[in-house]
Amino acid sequence: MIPHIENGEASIIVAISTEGRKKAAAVMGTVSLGNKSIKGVAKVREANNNKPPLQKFMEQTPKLILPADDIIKKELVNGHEVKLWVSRSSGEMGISVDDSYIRKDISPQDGKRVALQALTMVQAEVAKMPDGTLLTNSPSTGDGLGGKKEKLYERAGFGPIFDEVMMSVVKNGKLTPITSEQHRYLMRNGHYNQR
Amino acid sequence: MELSKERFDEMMEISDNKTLDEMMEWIELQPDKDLINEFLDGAYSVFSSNPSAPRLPKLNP
Repeated sequence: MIPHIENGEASIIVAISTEGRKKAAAVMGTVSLGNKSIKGVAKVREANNNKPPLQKFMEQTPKLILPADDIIKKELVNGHEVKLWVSRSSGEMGISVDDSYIRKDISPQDGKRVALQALTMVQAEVAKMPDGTLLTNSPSTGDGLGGKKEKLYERAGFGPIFDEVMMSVVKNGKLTPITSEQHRYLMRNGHYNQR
Repeated sequence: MELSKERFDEMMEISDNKTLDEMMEWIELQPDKDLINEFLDGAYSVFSSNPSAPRLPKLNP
């Protein structure tokens, strides 16, 4: 029995093992704290606190799904075409400028506008996706920009690189990062296969 | 110094209700506009660079 104090309220936490899971409950009783004696409050607590973090993650994460369709969105910014694409077969998300992945010599001002446009396109598309949509990207490249890409996608809501892939799950219309530990857990538990 | 995640989120939230032109004006009025501009310049480099063939996960059926 573990005395538990929260917001000035004392209770006794009893750990009960149920089907291999730890369950905790507060029971009616009297708690002695030093020379003070407090009448307990009958209160049943959900046992979430004792669950392994990854089990909690899975329970709190909607069922993972891939985007229903391939998505291609285009916008023109000062004559430059910004294209956002999402693959339904892998959840990979990417952005291209002027149908090219090679940096062009455009003005810094246009470059910033293009970047801002691309980020708002990502935001708008993600807002439309159902909870549980899995999105990925693979920022490791030979162009020397891997670190920059990783940082950018982290800002946007992707988790750290694990096995060359960054992952994110949509919750309430926003990107929520999947950590390396969660990523590993998803792989081990067969939530996705690697290509 | 880099643009923090919190500041990035704030900027993107503001962009919800602004046009691109309005956002560019908004950025110029910010005390940390240099950081924001540097971030966007870096973002453009990222978007316009060549991705390698990735190894991507597939969900189980």
